[in-house]
Order: sequence, then C-alpha cells, then structure tokens
Amino acid sequence: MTLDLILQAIATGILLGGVYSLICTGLTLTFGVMRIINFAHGEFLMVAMYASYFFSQALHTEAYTAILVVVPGLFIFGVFVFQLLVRPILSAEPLNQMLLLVGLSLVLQNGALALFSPDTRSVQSALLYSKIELGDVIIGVPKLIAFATSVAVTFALYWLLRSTELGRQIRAAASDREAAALMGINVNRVNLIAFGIGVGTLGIAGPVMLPIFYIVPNIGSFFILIAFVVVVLGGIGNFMGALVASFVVAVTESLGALFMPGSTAPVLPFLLFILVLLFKPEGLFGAKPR
Amino acid sequence: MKTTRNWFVVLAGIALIIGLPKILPEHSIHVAIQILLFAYLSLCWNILGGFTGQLSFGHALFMGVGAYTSTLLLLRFGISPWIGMIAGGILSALLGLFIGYLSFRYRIRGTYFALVTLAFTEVARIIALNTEAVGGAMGLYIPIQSNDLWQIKFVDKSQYYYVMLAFLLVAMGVTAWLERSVTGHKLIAIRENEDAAQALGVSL
Repeated sequence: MTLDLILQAIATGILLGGVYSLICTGLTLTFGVMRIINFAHGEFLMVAMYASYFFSQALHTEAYTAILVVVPGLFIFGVFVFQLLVRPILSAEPLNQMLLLVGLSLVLQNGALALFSPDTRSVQSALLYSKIELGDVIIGVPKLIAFATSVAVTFALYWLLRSTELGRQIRAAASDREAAALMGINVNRVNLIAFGIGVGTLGIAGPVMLPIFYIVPNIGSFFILIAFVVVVLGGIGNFMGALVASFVVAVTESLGALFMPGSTAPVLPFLLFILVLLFKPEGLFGAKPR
Repeated sequence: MKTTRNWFVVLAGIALIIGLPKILPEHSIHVAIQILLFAYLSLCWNILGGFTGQLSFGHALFMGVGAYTSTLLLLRFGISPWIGMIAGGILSALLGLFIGYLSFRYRIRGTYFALVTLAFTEVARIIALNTEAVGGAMGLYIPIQSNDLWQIKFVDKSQYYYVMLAFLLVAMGVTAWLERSVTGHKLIAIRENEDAAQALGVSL
C-alpha cells in the first residue's frame, strides 16, 4: 500500500463528497428544515438527470448548459408535487408522509423505466477525459466542477436561510407553523417556495453529475440512503454540517474501498450512521435537534 | 336469510381459493403465489408496524436471513426446509431482538427507527453480495428434479400455491390470536400513546 494510493483515495473521496453534498443540500432543506421525510429526493435527482440528458442531446451542448432550464423546471415540478401531494398531509403523522413520498418515488422510478427503458445512458463531453495531475494524484475535471459547484450551492443556501427575509420565514414556518402564521407569515407560500428550492437544487446536481455517472431509472436509489445518512450525520437542518458530513462519508467510503475486501466498503457509511444515531443522535456537529 | 347468503359467499370464496390453481394458467398461478406471499409478509410486518406503530424498513433483512438460512442448510447439508425455516426463523428473531434492543435501548423511534432498520438492511445486502460462501452476487439456486414434500420441491407450481396458502393461514391465525392476547393489547397501547402505556406498566 503506497502513500500515493492513499492520497488518491482521499482525493477521490473528497471529490465524491462534493457530489454527495450537492444532492444533500436540497434534502437538508426539505427534510432537515421542513421535516418532510422526502424519500422521493433521489427520484427528483433522476428526473433532473434525464431532463439534462435530453436537453443536451437535443441541442448538442455540454450538459452544464442544461442548468439554465432544469433548475426552473425542477423548481416548478417541486412546487407542483408539493401543492398536489405534500401540502394535504403536512400535518399528518410523519410516517404517513414518509409512505406517501416512498410511493411517489416508486411511481417516478417505474414511470422512468417505462418511458426511457432500463438502458444506461451517458453523455459525451469534451471535458469528460480532461484531468489535472497533482504529483501522483489525478483529479478528473468534471468531478472538480461538481465539487466546486456543491460548495458554492451549500454556501448560497446557507446564506439564503440565515440572512434573507425568505430564509427567516422558512425557518419560522418550520419551527412553529401556527406561531409563524400568527406573525403574518404566509406559511403555505413559504413552504411551497422552500420545497421548490429543495427540489430545484437538484436541477444543479443533475447536469453537474451527468458527465460523471451513467443514468438509469433507479439511479436515485443509489443516493437516497447516503443522502439521509449525510443529513443526519451533519445534524438535522445544518447545511455546513451536511457539507462536512458528505466529505466524511465519501472519504470513509473511498479509503474503505482501498482496505476492505471486494466491494464491501459501502457498508461503512451505514455502520457510521447506525453508530452516530445510537450514540450521538444530534449528529456529528452538535446542534441539538428541535 | 342474510346469514345463509353470507355463508354461501364464504363457501364460494373458499372453493375459489382452493380451486384457483386448477383453473389458472401457469403464469397466473405464479402471480397468485406472489399475492399470497405479499399478504403473508404484510401480516408479519403488521405486527410491528401496525400494532406498535414502529415503521420498519428492515423486514427485507429478516426475510433474507430466513431464506438464506434454510436454503444454505438444504444445499450444504441436505436439511429439510421444514427444519431450516425454524432455524431461519430463530436466527431472524435473534437479529430482530438485537436491532430492536439497540434501537429501543437508545430510544430511537419514528423516522430514525425507519432509517436505522433501512441501514441495517443495506449493510446486510452489501455483505451478502460480497460473500462467496452464500453465493455472492449470483445468489443461491435450488435445482428441482422431482416432487418432494419433505424438501418443499415441486415440479408443479400449484403445489407451492397450497404451501403458501397454508403459511398465510397460520400467519392470520397468529395475528388474530395476538390481537386478542394481553401482549397484543400492550402493543396497541404503545402505538396509541407510548408514555401512557408506560405509565400503566407496559414495559417498553
């Protein structure tokens, strides 16, 4: 086991962490802040990836240009889903909310299977094979872009939630719906926008991930559990925590792949998750859950 | 008059259920078996999820442990699934006790309980995929050449239908019994109000 292999694994892990984080910021908003157990998050990602795929195929452009269309598209889709399905059950049992969104994820997944067939798809890009070499460590450019984007998106959402009027309203509506309404906040509208933003961030994740991953109808299921692991590890509703937790999870996974037999490394995030839930349920970075 | 007609409906239903494999084509029998299997699994899940309101995503894990145990015992040691299912059941139950003990000891519930059971299932799935001794990604396959009730091997699909039907009836019986028993009442009390149940002396 040479040092540069370990360094490479850490670099790969950090880049993969960027991808995880990009998926998780939206979930931190819908699950962490709004407390909607959004099990369809992975399928929203799938929708975003297919949308960017078809957009870039139709216009023969780089997948990244799809962000311009897919972000508003996903925002509207999120608003639509919220209005139609989530809003009627906002005050229902959390477990029933979870079941509804699991149901939605099954519908979306199988809908994609019927519409797009189970074939794997990928885009060709000029950037696809370009890389940066730092000594013995090789960094793929698409992954570096994903990494940089995810950090930017995380900081943007953090700023939105902390420092804007809308962010304050979202936090108020999330912590006490009735009190917020009494303070003159239009809770329905705020929730609608927050859910739209949570889904809309996947409109960035989809195009950015397109050059890195194959798309299949069940691609969401590869990420959804990791996403929940990250959000819980980072401390519910904590954007910066989720960002750091993404890196912790991904580096654990890629270092594990180096040392553990076969492809058993993916168990590590889940073991970490179980241990954290058992012994430190408020997440790795402390903020007490509400 | 009303009761006579009800009895007629019940009898017709029973006759239909018993006669179904005789009139259905092969593929539809397979579907019918799936229906019975899902009904059976739902009943199993209902004891935890329905009675106590603890939503578990981990039942795939318990089913997997049972299936792997009995299949491995049959393939490696020629032990009948009738014995293997008891062994598998005991192993599953022990695993369930372990996960349940951990979760409830550390007061994990609701969403977090669902996520923990899902995480355990995922861990088990990845381990099973990477362990050659249990078939790895290929899985396990039981070759069937002849009918053998002791080994639950049938060339004809309809026999499995009756086996599954019998299991479903047993599960329904257990559920009905549990619902009327003291334990069942305790479980339902936990669902309705955990704190009140504890105050009245139900050991959570």
